[in-house]
Amino acid sequence: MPAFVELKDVEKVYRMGEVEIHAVNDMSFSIEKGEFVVIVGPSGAGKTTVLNILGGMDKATGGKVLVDGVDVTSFDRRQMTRYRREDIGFVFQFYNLVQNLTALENVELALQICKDHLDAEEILEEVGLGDRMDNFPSQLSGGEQQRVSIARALAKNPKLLLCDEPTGALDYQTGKAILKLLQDTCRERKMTVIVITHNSALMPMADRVIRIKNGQVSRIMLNERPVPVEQIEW
Amino acid sequence: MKKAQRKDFFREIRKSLNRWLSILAIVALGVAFFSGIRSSEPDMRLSVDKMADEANFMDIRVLSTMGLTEDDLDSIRQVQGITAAEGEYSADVLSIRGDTSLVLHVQSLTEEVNQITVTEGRLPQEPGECLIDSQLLITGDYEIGDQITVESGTEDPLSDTLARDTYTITGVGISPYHLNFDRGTSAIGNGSVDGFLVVLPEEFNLEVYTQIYAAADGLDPYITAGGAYQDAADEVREAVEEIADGRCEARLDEIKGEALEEIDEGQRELDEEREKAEAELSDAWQQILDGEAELSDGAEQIAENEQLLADSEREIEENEQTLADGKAQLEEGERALADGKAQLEASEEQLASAQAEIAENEGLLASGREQLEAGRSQLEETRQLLEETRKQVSAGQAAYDENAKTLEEQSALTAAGREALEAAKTELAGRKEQLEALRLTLEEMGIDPETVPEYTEGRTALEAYEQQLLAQEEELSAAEALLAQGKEALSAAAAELETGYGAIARMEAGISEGEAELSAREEELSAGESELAAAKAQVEAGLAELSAGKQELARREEELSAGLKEIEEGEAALADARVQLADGKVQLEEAKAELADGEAELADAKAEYEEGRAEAEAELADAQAEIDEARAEVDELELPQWHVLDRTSVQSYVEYDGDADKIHAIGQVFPVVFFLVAALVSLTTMTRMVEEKRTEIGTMKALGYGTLSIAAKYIGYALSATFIGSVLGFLIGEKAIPWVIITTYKILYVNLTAVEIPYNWGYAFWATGISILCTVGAALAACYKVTLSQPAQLMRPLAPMKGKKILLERVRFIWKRLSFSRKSTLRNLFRYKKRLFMTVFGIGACMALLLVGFGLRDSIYVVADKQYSELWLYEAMASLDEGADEDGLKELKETLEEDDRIDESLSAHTTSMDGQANGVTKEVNVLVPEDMETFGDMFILRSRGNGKTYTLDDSGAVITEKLARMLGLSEGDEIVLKEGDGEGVSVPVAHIAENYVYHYVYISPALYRQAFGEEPEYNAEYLRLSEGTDEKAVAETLLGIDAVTGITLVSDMNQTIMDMLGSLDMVVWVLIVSAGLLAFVVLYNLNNINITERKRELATIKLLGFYDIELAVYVYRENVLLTLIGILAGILMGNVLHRFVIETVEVDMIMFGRSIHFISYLYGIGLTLLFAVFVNVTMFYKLRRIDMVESLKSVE
Repeated sequence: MPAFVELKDVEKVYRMGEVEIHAVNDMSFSIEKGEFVVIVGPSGAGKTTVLNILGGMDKATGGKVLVDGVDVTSFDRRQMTRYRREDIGFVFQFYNLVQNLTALENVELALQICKDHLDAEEILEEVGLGDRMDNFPSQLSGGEQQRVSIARALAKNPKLLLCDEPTGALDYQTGKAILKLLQDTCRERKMTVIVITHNSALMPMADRVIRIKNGQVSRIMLNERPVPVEQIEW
Repeated sequence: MKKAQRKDFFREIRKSLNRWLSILAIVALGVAFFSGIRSSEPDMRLSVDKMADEANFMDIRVLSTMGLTEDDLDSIRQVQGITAAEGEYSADVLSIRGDTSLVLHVQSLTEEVNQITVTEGRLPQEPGECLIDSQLLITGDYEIGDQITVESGTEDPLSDTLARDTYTITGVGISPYHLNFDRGTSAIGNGSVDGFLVVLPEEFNLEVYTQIYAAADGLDPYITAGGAYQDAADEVREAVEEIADGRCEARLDEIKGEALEEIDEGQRELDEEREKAEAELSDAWQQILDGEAELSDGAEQIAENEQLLADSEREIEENEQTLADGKAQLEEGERALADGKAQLEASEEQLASAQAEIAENEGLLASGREQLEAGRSQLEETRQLLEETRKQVSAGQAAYDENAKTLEEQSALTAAGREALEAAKTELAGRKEQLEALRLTLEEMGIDPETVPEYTEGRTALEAYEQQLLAQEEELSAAEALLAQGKEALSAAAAELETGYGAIARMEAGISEGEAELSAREEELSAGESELAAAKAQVEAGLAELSAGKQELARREEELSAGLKEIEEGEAALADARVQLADGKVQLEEAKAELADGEAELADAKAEYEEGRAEAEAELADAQAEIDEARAEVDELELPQWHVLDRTSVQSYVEYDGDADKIHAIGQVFPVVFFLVAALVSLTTMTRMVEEKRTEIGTMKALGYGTLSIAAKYIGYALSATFIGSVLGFLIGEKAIPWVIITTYKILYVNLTAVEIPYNWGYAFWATGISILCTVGAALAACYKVTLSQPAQLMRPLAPMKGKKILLERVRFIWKRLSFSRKSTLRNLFRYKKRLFMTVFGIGACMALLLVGFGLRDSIYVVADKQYSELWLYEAMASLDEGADEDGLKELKETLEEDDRIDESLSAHTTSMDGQANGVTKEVNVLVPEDMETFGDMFILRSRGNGKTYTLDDSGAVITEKLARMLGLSEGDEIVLKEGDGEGVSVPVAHIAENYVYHYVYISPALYRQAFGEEPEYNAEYLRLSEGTDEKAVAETLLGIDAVTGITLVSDMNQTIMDMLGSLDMVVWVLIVSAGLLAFVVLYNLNNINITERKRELATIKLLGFYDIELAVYVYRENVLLTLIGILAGILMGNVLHRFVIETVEVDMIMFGRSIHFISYLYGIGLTLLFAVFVNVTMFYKLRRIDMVESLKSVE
C-alpha cells in the first residue's frame, strides 16, 4: 500500500534572471495517514517551498507529489484551487484571520466554498472558543486567534492539515497549548497533521520527523513513542 | 539629500511608477480641465476682440431720426476720445435672380472704421463696382466679375436712394459687424437681410448719412464686452450724447427753414390759381343763365298752342260721341222692327197648326163613338153564352148525383157477398179439420180411411163445397172490379163539373170588366168634345190680333230710313275736322322737340359748369390742404433724436458675449469638481504611500535621519508627480480646450476669424499651486504623523485595522437576513471609510458631470421644445405700422382672410412696458388679444407644475413664470405696469403661466380698457399657417402690404435655439470624455489602493481555495455597492450643479428648463456603469496575479 503522502524526487528551481536557485533538490519522503509530522530545518532549508508545494500554492518543477494517490503536480490552476479548498487545511504563523469578520464568520468564510464541511460552531467549541465566537480578531489574544485559524482549517475537514510555524508568533505557554490542540486533533480525529518549524525541540512529539537541510531531506526519524507536548520543554 | 537617499528616491519612483504616473495623470487632468475651461471664456473674448481691433470695429454708432449731416460728423469727430468717425449711407434693396429674391443691405464703403476684410478680389474703386458679403457666395451663387442688379423693394423708385441699379462684383469680404449668419431684419422682401453689398459713397442719392460709426481712443487694450471696456465705452458714449441735443436742434431748424420757404411759395402760386379759376367760372355761369331765359319763352308758346289743340280735339270727340249715340239708337230701332216681324210670322204659323189640330181631333172623336157601340153589342153576346153554359152544368150535376147513388148501393152488395164468402170459407176449413181428424183416427186404428166411407163421403162433399166457394169468389171479384170502374168514371165527371163552374165564373168577370171599360170610354169622349170647342174659339181671337200687328210694323219701317240719312251727313262733317286737328298736332310736336334740344344743351352746359367748378374747388382745396398739412407737419416736427449705441447694440456680439458667459459659468463649476476629485485622489494616494513605508521610515529614523530629511523623499515624490502633471496639464489644457471650444463656436460665428489662445498664467499658477499644496501637504501631514512615533514602534507591524460591528448589525432582523458575503461586504465598506468616501465622491462626480452635461442640453432644448411647439402655436407674427390708414388695414384683413395658406389670425395689441413689484422692475411685453378664442388656439397658458391650463379672462392678467419669480409675485398679487415715465397702473395677477422666452403680461381687452382707460390699439397679427406652407413666401406676401412693417417667424427663433444646442453638444462631449477619464482615474486608483491594502487578506482567501472569479466577486461586490451609492450621490450632486449652472447661464429674458429628462439620467447612469465596469475588468488581472505566498509572510 502506497503512503498517504508521497514526495518523489521533488525539485523546485526558481529562475532569477540568469541565476537558477534550487530551493528543493530531489526531495523524497512519505507520510502515513493519521501521522503527526514535524518538518524541521533551519531558515532557507526549503521548508516553506515544501509547504507551498504540498499546499497547492506552488508547483514543483520536477518530481512527483502524490496525495491520497493523486498526482498533485499534474494539476492545472483550477484543479489546484479545488485541491486547496477541498483537501488542504492551512494554519498560518500570523493566523491570517480576516480582521473584519468575527471568529465564527472567519470559519464560515472557509466553509462557504467547501462541500463536505463540519459545523463551524461545534469546531469552535472544540478548540475552546465557545464563548468568543462573536468576537473580532482584534478582540482575541494571539492564542485565541490561532485557535480560530485552526478551527477554520479543521472545519473544512481536510485530508491534510498544514501548519506553518503555528507557534511562531505566540508566547511559550500559548504555543504549547496550540501544539497540544494540534496533537490532540491528530490523535482524536485521525487527522494527518504536518507542522513546519525551525524549532527542533518539537521533534519528540511527532510520529515522524523529517529534517531538511539545503533543500534536501537530511534525515527521517520515526518516533515509536511520541511524547505529549506538555512534557516537552524548550 | 544624501546620495543614498537620492538613489532611493529615484528607485522608489521607478518601482512604483504606476503610482507616480497615476498621481501625475490625475493632477494633469485636473489642472488641464480647470485651467482649460477657465481660459476658454477669456480666450473667446480675446478672439473676438482681436478681430474687432484689426478691422477697427466701431465703438460708437450714432443714428438719428432725421439722418445725419456732414456737420454732425464733424461735431462727432471733435468729441473727446473719438479718434475716427465716418458716415455711412445704406439702404435695403431687392435683387432678383431666377426664382429667388434676395434682400441686400447696400452700404457705402467706410475707410477708417468697420473695415471690410477682403477675402477674395478687391474693394470697389470705381463707381458701379461693389464688394459682396461672403455669405452671398453661398446663398446667392455669385462670383467675382458677375453683374448684380438690384431694385427697390418699396413703392419709391430706386433712384431715390441709389444712382444705378447694376453693379459689377469686384470682391468678396466680411464685415466685423457680423459675427454669425444673422444679417438683421428688413422691411422689404421676406423681412430678413441675406447679405450686404459695399459700394462707393457716391453711388447714393441720399442727402444725409444713415448712420455714423466712430472709433474711440484708448479702448483697444480692453477686451470687447468686458467690464472695463464697457466703462470706458460708456464714457465716450456719454460724451457723444452730450453734443446730441445741440446737433438735433440745429438739424431741426435747418429742416424747418427749408420747408417753410417751400410752403410759402406754394401758397402764393395757389392763390393766383384760385383767382383765375373763379373769373372763368362766373363767365360760364352768365352764358348759362341767358340760354335758360330763351328756353322758358319757347316753352310758354308751346303750352298755349297745346291748349288750343286740346280744346278742338275735345269738341270733335264730343260730336263723335253724339253721332255714335244716334247710330246706336237707330240700330236698336231696326233690331226691334225685325223682332216684331218675326213675332208676327210665328203667330200666324201657330194659328194654322191649331186649326189643323182641331180638325184632326174631330175625326178621332167620331171613330171613338163607333168603337164604343161595337163593344156594347159584343158584351151582350157574351151574356147569352153564359146563360147557356149554366144550364149545361146543372144538367151534368144531376147525372152525376144519380150515378153516385147507384154506385153506393152496388158497393154495399159486394161487401155483403164478401162477408158471406168468408164465413163459408171458415166453415170449409172446420169441415176439413174434422175430416183430417177422422182420417187420423182411422189411421190410428189402422183402418184405411179410404175404406171408410164416412170419410170418403165426407171428403167428396167437402170437395164439392170447396168448388162452390171458388166459383162464388170469382163472381165476387168481377163485381168488385166493375165497382172500381164505376167510381173512376164518377170522379172524372166530378172534374168536368168543376171546369164548367170555373168557365162560368170567368165569363161573369169578363162581362163586368167590359161594362166598366165602356162607361169610361164614354166619359172620355164627351170631355174631348168640350175641349175641342174651346180651342176653336181661341183660334178665332188669335187671327184678329195678327192683322193689327202687321199694320204697326209697316209704320215703324218708314221712321227708320229717315234717321239713317241724318247720321251719314254728320259723319262726313267729323272726318273733315279730324284732318285739321292732325295737322295742328304735328306742328306742335316739332316745336316741342326744338324746346327739348334746347333744354338738354342747357343741362349739359350746367353739368359742365358744376364739374369744372367742383374740380377747380377740389384742386384748390387739395393744394391748400397739402400746404396746410405741410405747414402743420413743419410745426409738429419734433426735435430729431440721436441714438448713440455701442457694441452691445450689435446682436451677434451680444449673443457671442452670452455664449462666453455660458462657458464662464461652466468653468465656475465643472473644473472645480474635477479638480477637487483629482486633489483628493492624489492626497489619498500619498497618505497611503507614507503609511506603507512605515517600517522604512522607522529604520531611517533609527539610523538617525531627521524628520525633514525622511519626509523629503515623500514630498519630493509628490512634488515631482504633481508639478510635472500640473505643467503638462495647463500646457495642454489651456491650448486644447479653448481651441476646441472656440473652434466649435466658429461653426456658429462663421466670421470670427481669429482664434486667440494665449496661456493664462494666472489659472496655470493657481491650478499648479493648489495641486502641489494638496499632494505635498498630504505627504507632509502623513510623514509628520508617522515621524512623531518612536522608531521601534514604527518597525513593529501596524496593528491591523480593527474589525467593528456596524450600525446595521443592531438592526437584527435585517442583519440576520443578509447572506454571509453581504455582511462581510457591508462591514468592509464601513471599515475603509476613506475609500468609501473617495469612491462615492469620485463616482458621484462623474455621474454629476454627465448629468449636468446632458441636463444642460435638456434644459435648453426645453425652450425650443416647449415654447415653440407646445406653448406658442402660431407660426408667424406680423407687426403693423402704427400709422397705417383704414385702407391699408383693410387690405391686410382681406389678405389674412382670403389667403388659404393662413388658417387663422389674431389681432393683438403688443407693447413693451416696465413691470414692477416688490421694488423690482423688469421690462415686460404686454399682449392684449382681440379675440379670446383665437388667443386660446395660439397661446397655451398653463401651470408648469401641474399642467393645469388657464384661460385669460377679465378677472386679472396672466403673467409668465420667470417674471413672477423675479418680481416675487404669486397669484392674487398685483403687478404695476408703467409705460415710459408715466404713472403706473396696477393690474391683479390671475395666473402664472409656463414660459421660457421673454416676459409676458397677457391682459384681456376689457381689463385693459378698465386699467388703462383706453382702447387697445391692435398693432400685431399673430398667424397660424396651414400645414406645409412655405413660411418665407407668406412673409414676403405680407411684407408687400403697406400696413405690415415686419414679420417674425417662430421657426427662425427655434433655429437660433437649435444652433445654440449644436455648439453645446461639443461641450457635452467634452464633459462626457472628462467624466469618463475622471471616473477611470479615480476608480483605478482607489481599487489599486484597496487591493494593495488588502493583499494579505486576499491572498489568504485565495489560499483558502477561492476561485479567481469568486475572489473577484468578493472584491467587486463592494465596488458595485460603492458605485451604486456613488451614482445616487451623483444624482443629488448633479441636480444641484445643474440648477446652479442653469441659473448662472440663464439670462433675464430666458428661462431654461429646470428639470433633467429621465433619459438623461439613464445615459448618465449607463455611462458611469460602463466606466466602472471597465475599471473593474482591468482590476481582474491584478487580482489574478496576487501571490498566495504573501499570506505566509510576516506582517510588515
